[in-house]
Amino acid sequence: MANTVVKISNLVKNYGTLTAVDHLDLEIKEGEIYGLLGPNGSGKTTTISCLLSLLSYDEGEIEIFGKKMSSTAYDIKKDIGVVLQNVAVFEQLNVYQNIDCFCSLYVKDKKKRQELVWEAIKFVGLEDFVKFYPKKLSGGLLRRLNIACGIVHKPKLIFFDEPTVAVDPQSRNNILDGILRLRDEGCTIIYTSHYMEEVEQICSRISIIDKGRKVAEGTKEQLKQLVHTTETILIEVEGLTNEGLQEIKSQGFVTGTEFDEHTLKIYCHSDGHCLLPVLNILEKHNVKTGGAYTKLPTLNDVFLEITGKELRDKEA
Amino acid sequence: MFGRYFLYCILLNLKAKEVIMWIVVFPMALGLMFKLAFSNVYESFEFKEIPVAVVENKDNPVFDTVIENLSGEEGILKPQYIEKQKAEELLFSGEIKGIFYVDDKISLSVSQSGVEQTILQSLSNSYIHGEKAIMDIMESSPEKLPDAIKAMSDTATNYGEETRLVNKEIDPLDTYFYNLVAMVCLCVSTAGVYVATSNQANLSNVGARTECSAKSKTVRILSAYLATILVAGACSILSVSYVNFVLGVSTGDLLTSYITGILGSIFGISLGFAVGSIPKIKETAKMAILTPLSLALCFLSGLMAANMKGVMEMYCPIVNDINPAAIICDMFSSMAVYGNVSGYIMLCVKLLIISAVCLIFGLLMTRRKNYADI
Repeated sequence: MANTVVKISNLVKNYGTLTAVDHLDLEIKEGEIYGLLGPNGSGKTTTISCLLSLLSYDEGEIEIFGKKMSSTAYDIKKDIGVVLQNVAVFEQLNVYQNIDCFCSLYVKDKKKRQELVWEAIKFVGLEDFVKFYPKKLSGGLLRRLNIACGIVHKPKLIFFDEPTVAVDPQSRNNILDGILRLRDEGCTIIYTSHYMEEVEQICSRISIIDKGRKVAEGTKEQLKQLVHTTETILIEVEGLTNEGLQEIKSQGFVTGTEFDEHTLKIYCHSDGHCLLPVLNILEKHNVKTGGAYTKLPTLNDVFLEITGKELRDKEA
Repeated sequence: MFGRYFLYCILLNLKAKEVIMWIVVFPMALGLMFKLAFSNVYESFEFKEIPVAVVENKDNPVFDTVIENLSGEEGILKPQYIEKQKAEELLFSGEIKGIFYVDDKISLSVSQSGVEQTILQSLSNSYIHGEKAIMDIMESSPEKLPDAIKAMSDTATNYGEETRLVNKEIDPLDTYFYNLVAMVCLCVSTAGVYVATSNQANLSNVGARTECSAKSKTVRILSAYLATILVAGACSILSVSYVNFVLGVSTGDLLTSYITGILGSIFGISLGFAVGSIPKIKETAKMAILTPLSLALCFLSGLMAANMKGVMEMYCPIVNDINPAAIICDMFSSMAVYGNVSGYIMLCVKLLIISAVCLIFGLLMTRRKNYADI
């Protein structure tokens, strides 16, 4: 059983009359990549800011590495790395100096710091840009510098707050691969993002937060079970009778159908795949079939079904 | 204790182009402009008694006594008592430099601007300031009036002597150069803003990152504060040296001049730190407040018009007492002109107290351990 690295109990944070985090409980284990998902204004960044003791909170307790977290808990902070949503580097320093400067806040020994800085530079692939100043870097390279500054001191716990905003697909893949490598090296990672496919790709457990509350938590497979439609089947058919259609509708796993002469769309909810039993029924009724397609729910479907489709920015 | 982060804070200050522009390039260019603008004045100016007319519409024995004391062999004035029309003709023709009108109040008319006119204005301001004291004595203790008039005459005489007999001859144009160094000291306040913003999570992204680090906020802020003072102090030393050795304007004893520059820089950084630590105001807005504020304080102490400080002394003396630019100028003149060590030390203490007030305000604003919102 892995150790608990982060434990949030009954966290409440109010901004005046607005409750940004509402009795939130989280437990994150060692070696996990834990995804925090939520619409804009759902309380993700506020939660992270509370975890880092940047924000005061009204109720609850936060423990990191089994100790109570506070703004002066430097023995905890030395093992935490932060990659913030906004790039946080000094414009006047070049790539090497920026990474070294932030490393100096953790590591005194010059030789060790040099090793760590070069390791971080290699990790994010900025070897050819060490003398470059932030203004001369592209968006993707700047994000990589931002990451290098956050991880240079080899932290055990790293917060990534939307690290891939406004970067090209190549840089995004590079960043995600890097995060997986950090996990493989033993880091625990807390990851927030709006990009569902990223979270689906790298996170071992995911929590969906809405209006400051945790509305769902689990692995991506567990979350997908929460949605109404676990599989959508699309089949090109010829000669489907009303009798055949009724038999399909009568199957326990079928939650809905749409039929428009040649295309049959079936919505299913089941633990397993449903295509084969549907094809058997069509064959039994001598229905000719063309292409058959099946679509499993994505995390995006789960997210939208749980949090709703209305625009949240309107509420802010 | 501070380590590598302190060195990076120095580097950050040295590479802050806009700050260096304000505290090195701009003052040097302005100083050169002053020098070129005043070069004709310097070349043509040789101190002689200043010819003035006194137009008496009313008797004023106090003023007569003062004028008498300021004229003669050791005096600085060459007065003639004449009618208004004649006096104005002489002023128009340039034969006299100013007219003192003696009515219910003393007033001065000059037709041009220049060193002599500035001295006359200073005399007029000093007299008006002293006359009020005489009037007060006349109302409260008439029996002490003769003593008071004598004391005032002595003061006026001393003023005349002081302008000529101290460490060096007073040059009203030097005020511009003292103000130039004062401006450097105040403009470093823009660098002081970074001390707060780069270490506060609610003020910048970099601040948020450093707040998450394993180095305590006190150490980080002190590192940044001391590093900025080091760079700003070096810039003010550079400015003092520039004024002394390149522009050829003496600020007095070099050591005390450098100390003045460094103390001025400490004030500037403390002011910037105090303003920078105010939450919910953008960094650019803070800069936009500090730069005009620095220039306004220098304006009040005579950067744009040398007699401004005298005007403030007459109408609102408390401004000169608390205006750091005026204090810095006084520090220079107290050593360069009057050689007044105890006065200089008092001014140093005053500037340090104002700096401490700013620093304590900044520390109180930044001592918060975490934030209600960021």
